[in-house]
Amino acid sequence: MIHFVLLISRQGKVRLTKWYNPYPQKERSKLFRTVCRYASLYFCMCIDAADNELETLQIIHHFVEILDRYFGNVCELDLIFNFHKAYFILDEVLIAGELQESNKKAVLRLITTQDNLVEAAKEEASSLRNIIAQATK
Amino acid sequence: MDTVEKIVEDFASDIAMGPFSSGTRLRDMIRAIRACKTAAEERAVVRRECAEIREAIGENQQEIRHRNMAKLMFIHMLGYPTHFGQMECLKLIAAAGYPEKRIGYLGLMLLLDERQEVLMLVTNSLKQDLNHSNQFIVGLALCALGNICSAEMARDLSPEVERLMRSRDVNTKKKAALCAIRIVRKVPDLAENFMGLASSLLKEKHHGILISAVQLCTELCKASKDALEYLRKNCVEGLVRILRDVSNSSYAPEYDVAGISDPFLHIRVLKLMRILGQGDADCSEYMNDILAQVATKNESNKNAANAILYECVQTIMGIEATSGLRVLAINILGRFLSNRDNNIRYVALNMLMRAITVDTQAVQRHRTTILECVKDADASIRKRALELVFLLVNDTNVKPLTKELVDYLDSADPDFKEDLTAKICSIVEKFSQEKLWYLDQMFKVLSLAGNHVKDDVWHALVVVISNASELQGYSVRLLYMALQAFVDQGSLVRVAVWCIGEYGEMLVNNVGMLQGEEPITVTESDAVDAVQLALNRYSADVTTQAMCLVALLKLSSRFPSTSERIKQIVSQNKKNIVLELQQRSIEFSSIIQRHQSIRPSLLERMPALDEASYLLRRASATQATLAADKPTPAVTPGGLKLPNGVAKPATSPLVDLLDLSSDDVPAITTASTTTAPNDFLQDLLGIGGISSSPAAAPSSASTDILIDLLSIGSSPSQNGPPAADSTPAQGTKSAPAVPQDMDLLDGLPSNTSVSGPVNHSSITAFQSATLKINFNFKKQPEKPHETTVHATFTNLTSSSYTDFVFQAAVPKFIQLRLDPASGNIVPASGNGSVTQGFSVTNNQHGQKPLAMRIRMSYKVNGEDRLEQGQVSNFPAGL
Repeated sequence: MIHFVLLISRQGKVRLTKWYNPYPQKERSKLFRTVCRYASLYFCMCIDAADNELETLQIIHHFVEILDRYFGNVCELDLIFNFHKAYFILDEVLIAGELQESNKKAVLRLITTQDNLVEAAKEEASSLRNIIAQATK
Repeated sequence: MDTVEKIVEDFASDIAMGPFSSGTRLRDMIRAIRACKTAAEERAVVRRECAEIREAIGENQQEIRHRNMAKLMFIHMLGYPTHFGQMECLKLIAAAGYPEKRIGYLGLMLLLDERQEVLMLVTNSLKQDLNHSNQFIVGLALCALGNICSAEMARDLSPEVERLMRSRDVNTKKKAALCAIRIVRKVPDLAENFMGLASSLLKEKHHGILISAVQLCTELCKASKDALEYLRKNCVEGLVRILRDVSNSSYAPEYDVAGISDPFLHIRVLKLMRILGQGDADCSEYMNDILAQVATKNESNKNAANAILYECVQTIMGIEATSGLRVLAINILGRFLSNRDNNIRYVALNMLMRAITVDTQAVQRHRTTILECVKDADASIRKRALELVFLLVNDTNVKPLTKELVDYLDSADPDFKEDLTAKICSIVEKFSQEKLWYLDQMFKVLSLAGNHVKDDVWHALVVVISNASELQGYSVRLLYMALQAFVDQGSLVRVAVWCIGEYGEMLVNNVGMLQGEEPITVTESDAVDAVQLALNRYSADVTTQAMCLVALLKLSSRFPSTSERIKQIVSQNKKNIVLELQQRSIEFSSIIQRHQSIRPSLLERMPALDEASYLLRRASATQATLAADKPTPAVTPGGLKLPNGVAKPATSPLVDLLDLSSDDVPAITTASTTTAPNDFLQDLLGIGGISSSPAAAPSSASTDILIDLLSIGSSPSQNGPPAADSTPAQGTKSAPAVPQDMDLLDGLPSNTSVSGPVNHSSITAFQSATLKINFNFKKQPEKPHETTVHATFTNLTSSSYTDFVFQAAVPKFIQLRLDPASGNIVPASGNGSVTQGFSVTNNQHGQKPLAMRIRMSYKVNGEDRLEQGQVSNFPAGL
């Protein structure tokens, strides 16, 4: 199981944190971590000692590839200004610290559909506002 | 940048709610924060934003709740407190629209975890959303539940999750299965509700569902024995089929990773197989074929393929696999060791370490490759490989392996030398079949890495040499030559100096030549040169210097012709600022000069040590060191970390070096406590606490001639007169610090009692239901800041205490010196008591009162007890 995911910039700034366990300090030492660097970001996942480290690297790679496709060559600024999108994507990749979907396209499809839902709701709201605005003119 | 800006615009419009909103937009806030040059500026921006958000919360402004939540999440990531926004999450979740729920659930997962009470309030919203008609809203609720639910929520919402696992929508199904993992982790009792559902999901085709279901099964096996048995019966067949299908499937672009179809599914199925096959021969039998196929199929340099192989190897080693399959698995690990990827070499070493218990022979076959990894460029790989090599050593391969390691010692990374040296020494000691080989290896290690050799290791070497009479000549000659070449290796110098002192005549006369050994020409003066060189070179190392002085003293008797020269060398240290060395020099000069008659017998070669009892004591000392976890600082004699009455572990064996019963030193039998021999042996070899706090070492009050001759530091003066607590000498020849010793050596009467000490009243320093401690105080009028305390320990229970140890800690302005206790057994019911003296020096006498924290550990019927307390009722004026 993955206990937490951290994205840290080279300057040590936290860009994303996801905790799958309420985390007492003393338990940290028992755990093993896998860090992987993409461009200027460090991806850190804490896993059980018995877990497959090589696979965890693969999961990080999987997540990065999805981010990459979503943002189109993802960079740190994307993750700063659109941090919530990175979280939405992570939530389609992992739940309860376990892998949810190994199909990158399926994840992207789900995210796009949900983005469209938001978009539609917003349009509806703005058209409603227009109607109200016109009615109250 | 353009694209970023565009996305930012999109996002900003996504979050901002149009003409009704007020305050800064999220994008502007992030920009403002990023533009801050100092932490103070950043705090100011965050404070301003937080104030606005609080205000908005207070006014219940719904339109910007959405945006404020996003801001709060960003602020939370920066590490600022955001608890005031927690209720806003609940409001967003309770809203009707998808956009509000999406950001609300994200906030819930980020700002809250299961420890917060607020979370309970969300259970109802979650339940509603789990029953929502929109599958994406159901998905949001499942995701939140899976990531942060508490045990109570797990119980409440488990039926909903069960129902959703039967949903027709694939995404809902997989999310519900993962949610069930969290539920079972929180409430293992619920495992049985899910086992039927989980195993039926294994028949699906969708990989997302399969992965989730396999993981759920794995969790169920961990949570419940019944579930494990159920799944063994019902899903092994299905798992083998899934693995075969995915392994043999033709190219499927959506699951392809570097030419392999869905490595994630591979790995998760293999992992579950390991759990099911463990200790179950039938299940294992059923898996053998497919495991062999996976193990032979995935050959590639890609990480994904290696990850599968690695998991497959773990499964083979974990289940009751055939021996052929196990050899195959270990060979895969052997191949991993030559992989260029550091991660792969690292995991292979880890795995081989575990595989050793299963099949040592198969691992042994990869010894050469493992040995290469000891020389790896990567530090953590070297460390792992070295540990593995250590496990692989046995009687047949110890010689070639040791040779390899010793040869590598020369070129090894300096940081790695310590580990490497420790392991080599450990191997050499554990597997030495002949002494000559052991000595040769140790001499090599000392020469190449003498600065990294632990004290107990070279102490053991001295013990062995003292026992090997036929090899003493060989040792001293070899060490002498090594000393010429490697004078910068600390422990080599110490052992060599000790041997030259003990066996000097064997060095110059080529006594006990071994077959094939080249005779060397060393004159008596050469031998003295060598020791003198070490003495001058190690001017900062009190231990080595002290050992050099002893060696010189011994040589003065072995080589009478050099006596005069040695006297001069020794005299040079009479003004040494280190009390220990100064005193040694003064005493040794005196021996050389005035006590010719007793000199030969006094400086005889040390008798052989008892090797067996040394090893025993060393082993227990190692344990004691491991167990020594002391939260409170304890001040004990000589600055050692061990409590009163217990000798320093590393030096205790050397007791025997001075064979107490030997008739040439009859006076020694007057030593008052059992610790005495340890202490003066410590001093003899200069290993004691000298180097740690030489200035604090008081001079001895004992009348024992040998103690006085050879020891100055921490020899026992259990209840000695206060005169013993003389302050460190100022470094003059007529040092007042050591009047008694001088007196003794000069044959003058040693009456040192000065003006009588002043008795203070006594106090009960500590009393519990089991133990009572009284302190008696004595003080000398001319030294108001010093107090001698006499502690009496009385047992108030009906069973006696063994291994009694008293420890004390004092504030910085107080110095404390404990003397050895009168014993370590406190008899039951107050039938006698243990006493212990100690002296305290209050450096702020008159300003601050004495204070002390004490700790007593002892055993009652073999059970450890610990009591502690604080003594604050010292009489005024101490």
